[in-house]
Amino acid sequence: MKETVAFVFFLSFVFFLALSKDWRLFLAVVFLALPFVRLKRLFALLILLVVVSLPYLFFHPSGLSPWGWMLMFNLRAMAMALSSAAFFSFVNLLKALSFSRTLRALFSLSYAQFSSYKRTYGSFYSALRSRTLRKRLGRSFFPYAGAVFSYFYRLSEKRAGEMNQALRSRGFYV
Amino acid sequence: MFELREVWFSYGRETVLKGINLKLKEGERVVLLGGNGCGKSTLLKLMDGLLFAEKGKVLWKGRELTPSGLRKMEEEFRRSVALLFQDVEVMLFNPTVEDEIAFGPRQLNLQDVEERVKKWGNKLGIKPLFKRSPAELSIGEKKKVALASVLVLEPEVLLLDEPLSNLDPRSTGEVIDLLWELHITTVVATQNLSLAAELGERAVLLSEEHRIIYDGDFEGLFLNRDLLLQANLLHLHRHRHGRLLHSHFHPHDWE
Ligand SMILES: Nc1ncnc2c1ncn2[C@@H]1O[C@H](COP(=O)(O)OP(=O)(O)OP(=O)(O)O)[C@@H](O)[C@H]1O
Ligand SMILES: [Mg+2]
Repeated sequence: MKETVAFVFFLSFVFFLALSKDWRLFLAVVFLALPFVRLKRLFALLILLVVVSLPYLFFHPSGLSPWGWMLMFNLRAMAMALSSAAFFSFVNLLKALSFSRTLRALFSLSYAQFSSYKRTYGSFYSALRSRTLRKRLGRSFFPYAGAVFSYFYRLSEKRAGEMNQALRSRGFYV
Repeated sequence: MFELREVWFSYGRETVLKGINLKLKEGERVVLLGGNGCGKSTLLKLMDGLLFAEKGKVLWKGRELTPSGLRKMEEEFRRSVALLFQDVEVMLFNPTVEDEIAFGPRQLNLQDVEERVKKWGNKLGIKPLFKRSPAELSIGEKKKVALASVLVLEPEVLLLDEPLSNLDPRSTGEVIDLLWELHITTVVATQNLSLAAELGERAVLLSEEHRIIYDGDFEGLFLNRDLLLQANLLHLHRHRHGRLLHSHFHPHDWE
């Protein structure tokens, strides 16, 4: 219950951030949240932001400087992402979602899907390692990447279908 | 309890069940045997109302399982029939083992969920795993968790797809005993001929041509070597002891 209340407050805070245009607020949030976020996640976020914002250099609202607009845009995204990461390092999302068994099940389902991919990818990679002689993958990486992509596509198709059947069998759609 | 009448099923162009007839009485224990790809898992999914017959009928308590028919009685049906998937990973997605076992009973609004979860956790010896995430368990442990989350429903009909694969010898024995303790209708699919007779009284054999080629007791089945060969459950094995060459039939009794 406590978690649910915190979650609702946090959601409204995130909405507020999304609507706000105050860069000082964004900066403050980023600095406050920073100590609670792991370095690895921070890097991933930065890379993602750079990639995502590149197109905005070309497609920005006319009359505004693209740089200022981009800075604002990125700061807001950082503030939202970092505060979410910080929030969930304190609050267990599953407990926060306990008010709805559907939401809870959906969330754990997507998490399970994700972790099953991670494991499959891990075993895929070690299988490739054990079947190739050289230590570095080198040129065989590209066909490998292609194989992984199509394999994962098929896997997700089949998995998703069977997971759905399993959910149905256990009464999820009752 | 269940009745299948001339059931046909195909995935796209591939027909995997051809004219299946099967009648299941209450309390009966059927073992569904057959080689890889003969359609055992598909048949169980048809009986669990996850797939639907293309031709023919699947009846549960005299009521036909069709998408619309099932919708009307889904809660009753799901409480009464439970399926253990062959690939148990698709069943596991909760944050802890305890939640995993409680998932079904909570969805179906059953009574005394906590007690049931404890009881079945103890019976399968997975109480020490309760706080762990199912994702990180070994394959055999996953199987036990999935088995517990099916048994916890205490259904009238249990459909089990390879329930013994990946279990160590002791757990195999324990699960077999556990299944005999329960007095419920079961259908177990397996390709393990040596354990099959311990799982039920009635053997149903599916051929590679996706038809039922035997339905009866195990004595009759074991005496009929040609049928077993036809269903890919036996093969001719040759091996040597020093200079002596042996050649005999033996079952595929490993995973
Ligand atoms: N989702 C699917 N899409 C397409 N074909 C499928 C699908 N599931 C199964 N099949 C095919 O249907 C046939 C029967 O599959 P099924 O899983 O029922 O066999 P099985 O008897 O359980 O085999 P096993 O002993 O290997 O588990 C197989 O040839 C398989 O390739
Ligand atoms: Mg199967």
